[in-house]
Amino acid sequence: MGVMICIFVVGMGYWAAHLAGVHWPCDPTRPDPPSQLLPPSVQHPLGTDDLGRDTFSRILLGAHVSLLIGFVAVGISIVIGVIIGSISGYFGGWVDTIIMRFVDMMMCIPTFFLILTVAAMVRPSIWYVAVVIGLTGWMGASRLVRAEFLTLRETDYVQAARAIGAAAPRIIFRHILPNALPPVFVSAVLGVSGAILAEASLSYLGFGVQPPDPSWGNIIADGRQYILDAWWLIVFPGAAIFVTTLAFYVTGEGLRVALDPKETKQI
Amino acid sequence: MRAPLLAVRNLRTYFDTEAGTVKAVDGISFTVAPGQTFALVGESGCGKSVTAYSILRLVPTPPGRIVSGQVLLEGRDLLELSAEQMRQVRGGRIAMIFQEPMTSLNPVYTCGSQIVEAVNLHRGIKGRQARGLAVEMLARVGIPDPAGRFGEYPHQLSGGMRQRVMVAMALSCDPQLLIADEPTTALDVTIQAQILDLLRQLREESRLSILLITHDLAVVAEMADAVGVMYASKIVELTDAGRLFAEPLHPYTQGLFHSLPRLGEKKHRLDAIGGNVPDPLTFPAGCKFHPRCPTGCNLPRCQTREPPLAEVQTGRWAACWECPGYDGAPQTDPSDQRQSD
Repeated sequence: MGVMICIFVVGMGYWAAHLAGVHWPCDPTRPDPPSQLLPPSVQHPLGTDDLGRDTFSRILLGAHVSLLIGFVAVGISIVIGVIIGSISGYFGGWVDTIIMRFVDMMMCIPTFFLILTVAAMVRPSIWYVAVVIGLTGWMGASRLVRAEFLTLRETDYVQAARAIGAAAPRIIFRHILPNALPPVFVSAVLGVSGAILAEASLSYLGFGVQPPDPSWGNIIADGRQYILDAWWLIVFPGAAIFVTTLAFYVTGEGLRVALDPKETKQI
Repeated sequence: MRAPLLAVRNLRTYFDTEAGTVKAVDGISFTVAPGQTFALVGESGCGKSVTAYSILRLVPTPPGRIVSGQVLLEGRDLLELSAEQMRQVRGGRIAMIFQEPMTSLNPVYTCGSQIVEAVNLHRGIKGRQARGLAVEMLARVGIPDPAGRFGEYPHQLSGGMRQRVMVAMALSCDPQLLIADEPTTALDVTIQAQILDLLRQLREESRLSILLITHDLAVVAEMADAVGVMYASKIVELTDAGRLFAEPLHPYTQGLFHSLPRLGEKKHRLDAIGGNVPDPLTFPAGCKFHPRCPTGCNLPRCQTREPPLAEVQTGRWAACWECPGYDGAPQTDPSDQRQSD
């Protein structure tokens, strides 16, 4: 039941994001100086910022940006993680040793500062932010896939596939990978919330999505100077991040339960 | 005297472990004649399955390696083939079915699509034609409503059904040799009989040779034309099934038969072979069976020298110093095509 609500929240978020494309209720990027820093009212349900832009519209457009970054970043990291993890787990031996030490090395790098460095070097845009977050976040997925492969490659049906003369790529992608995917799906859904948080942090520090494009992170960043006068600039985008992240976590957990045959609980 | 389909000659497969080298298969030879069933019998860990995997070159390397020997399929040495050629042999010429039907089918694909895959790989038949062939195979192995079963997932079928699907998959590419690695061990007795009947029937229909690996002498009696008895990585007795069951020569084989109940015999306790299977890392010196052997345990010859396999009667090999006719018997290799049919 809880999972259903969360899927609904996530779905609403994305639907709202699409609505934002038609600039509703107000243009989220056009300044309107006379109505700056207005508290929540009927006309501006979540108030306005220092340039008079409607916070509700900006959060909706920001949802589009944040979710897009979340999905793209996770998509990239899952693809890389699955390929690297599959090769490592299937072939084992020295291939596995080299790849896993490389993964260990990548994990030792403080990811956030790496993202900051890369973001500082390239021209910040939605796509760069997504790609950088994706390129630095695949290690978890690769370890997960490798662990699945280590057990699955010993199963009888993989041996049977070898015995009918299937080649390595066929065994990896056709016979083992579909069986290894359920935990990867779960980690992907959980990863979306991680990517949204990373984007919010980056944008807050000014290295993420650049004005006038709104993202939840940079709405908070802009609002922090007015924190004592205009609480709505911090609280509402913060709540949006919180609710979305939580929704993805619960969805991921529900997915784990749903995909785990040993779990008998009904969702 | 027909040329054998498969001749395994002096095959040795070793595993390198941290504790030392395990000689899992240590110089075994046998032949499988066309259209016949050769049974490899032995206890767990004696090297039967490793022999089967070595023939298909499916021994995990490392730690395993095939040290020496030849595996001749119609005179062509499989151990010399390239990886690509070997894949053509697997499934195409030699197919294999496994012990555990519950886990030998991939749970995410339907039974039919797994047969179709084998057909795609080896016969290049695709689409509707491949599907038709798969349904036909399912019908041949005695699955009711084959078209309906085609789309079912392995978990929807019983163990016996799954083993039938495995057999259908193995035979879909018309192999010459079927390696059956304990095909009935995981099934209950009535289903065992059905699967054995099926294998026998398919053998008659398609002139198939079967290499049957089992520890069950009842299965051997039911199926085999020729039998090789394995003990501690070696063949200790090799002959046709009739003569083996009539008069086992090697003390180990005799022990195996004595440990089975016989119909109509009044006996309260069955005889057991004393002791345990030796640890493959520390095989005893001399004959590997001598510490457990009722006749050889105190004989100096048995304790110091290992008896090689020798032809004690025409077409009948044994490896035991005390076996009648062993002294002076020619030490021929069973794979030298001299085996009588």
